[in-house]
Amino acid sequence: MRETRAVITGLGVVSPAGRGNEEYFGNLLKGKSILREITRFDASRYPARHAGLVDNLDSGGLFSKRLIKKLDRFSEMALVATDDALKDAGLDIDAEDKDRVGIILGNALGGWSFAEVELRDLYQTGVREVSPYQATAWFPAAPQGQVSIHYGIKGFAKTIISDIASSHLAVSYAARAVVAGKADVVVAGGTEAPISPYALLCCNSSGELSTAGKYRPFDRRRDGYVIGEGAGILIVEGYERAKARGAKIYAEIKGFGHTSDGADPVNPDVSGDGLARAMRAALSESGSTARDIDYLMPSGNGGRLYDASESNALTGVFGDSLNDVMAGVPKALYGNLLGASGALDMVTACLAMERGQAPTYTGCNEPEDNCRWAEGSGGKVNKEIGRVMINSTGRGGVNTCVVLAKP
Amino acid sequence: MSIEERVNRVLVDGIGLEPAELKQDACLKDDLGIDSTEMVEVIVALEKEFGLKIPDGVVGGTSTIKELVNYFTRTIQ
Repeated sequence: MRETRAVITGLGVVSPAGRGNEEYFGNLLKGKSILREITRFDASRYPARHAGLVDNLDSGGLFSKRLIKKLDRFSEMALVATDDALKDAGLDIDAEDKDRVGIILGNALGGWSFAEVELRDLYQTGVREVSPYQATAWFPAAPQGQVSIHYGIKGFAKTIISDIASSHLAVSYAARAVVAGKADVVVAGGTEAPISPYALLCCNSSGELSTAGKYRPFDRRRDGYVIGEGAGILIVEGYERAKARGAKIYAEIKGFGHTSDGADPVNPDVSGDGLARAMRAALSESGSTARDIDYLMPSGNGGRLYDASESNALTGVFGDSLNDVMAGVPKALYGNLLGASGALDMVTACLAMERGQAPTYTGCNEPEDNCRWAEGSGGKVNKEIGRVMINSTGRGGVNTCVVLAKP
Repeated sequence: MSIEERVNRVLVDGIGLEPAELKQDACLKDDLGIDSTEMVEVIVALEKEFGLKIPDGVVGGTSTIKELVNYFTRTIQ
């Protein structure tokens, strides 16, 4: 039977706010920032040296030490989150037609914890010191590869590299793949491990990190975002298939919009027109208007231009109703996970819909004049949530918007 | 430490094999699943352990642990 609707049936999250649905969502509702100074290596000389950190990642029981030593941290986190998501979905890949199981993951930077050590050995000692896994550990599609190999996934597979918008695109294209009949079920999401000396340097040199170590989107004092590490995985499958097997359905991926600003190689178009187009496309596809959105999750990148652009887009699409919509930027609590950030927002949205509770932390206490809607209102609101709009914007003017709907 | 113990230590500590897998007649490729990439790691680790360069073709996927031990026993003597 041809599927016409794509739904989310399983969630897996490894994040600075915790691992697993309960721990993760519980910490979001507390509304307390968990960003802290990086001590994993000496970051004292970096202008921006705070992050959301995953300590004590326990994957030893799930995967052999022989495998783990061949991987960068971002592959390891993707494997752990995938295992959790498949268990949450009640899905055994061995019982599936593996040619019809797909995987689409997002990532921005690649596996630098592994790679930079090997490059150091190359220059200090020589070629023979470089690990034979250097190439397969670093490249951004490594998590897709490792998850595919571990579970025997042989279907439609991609890695999306689009800065902060990567995993948003990944999950949205997973929905498209299911509805297009290219796969029955897709492991979708993103992973990022940017807490290494070189990766932190790259992020610092982008100029987009907060040197104050504070993540305050739409706040007049904002000076960028704070990075975080982690992975978010969602199991996407057809609605009829999910219903037939009695799966728990968190949400339908009801609308998706994707545009480019075409304005600047690095900065967004401050007018917000591109993002507004993406938002309108997502609303239109979902059969919604802005007033139907119960919970708004902006991209909230925290930069001077990014937030101005997004604020203009939101004002353009929502109009006066922007001040009435419930909003939250939970990533301001635990960090922007770059290529995984969209996936984590979708995990948050699914849990919010399931539980009728929304994390409303925004990190914004002194809003810009046109951002009163973003002013923080504490940790959580209890409310029936039927539709969630989630934005994700990446460098160079990539704009994505997803509308999730409760089934 | 004997040559056999040193070879086993490289395979366990360096490569991550389980001690229970290290049977003398275990073939590196067919029994231990060591593919071409991991074989590079094995050879470099053994060269470091024994302080010598292993000529191409001497050690490969079809080698067994016993053959590795025999090679180093002969070569070091």
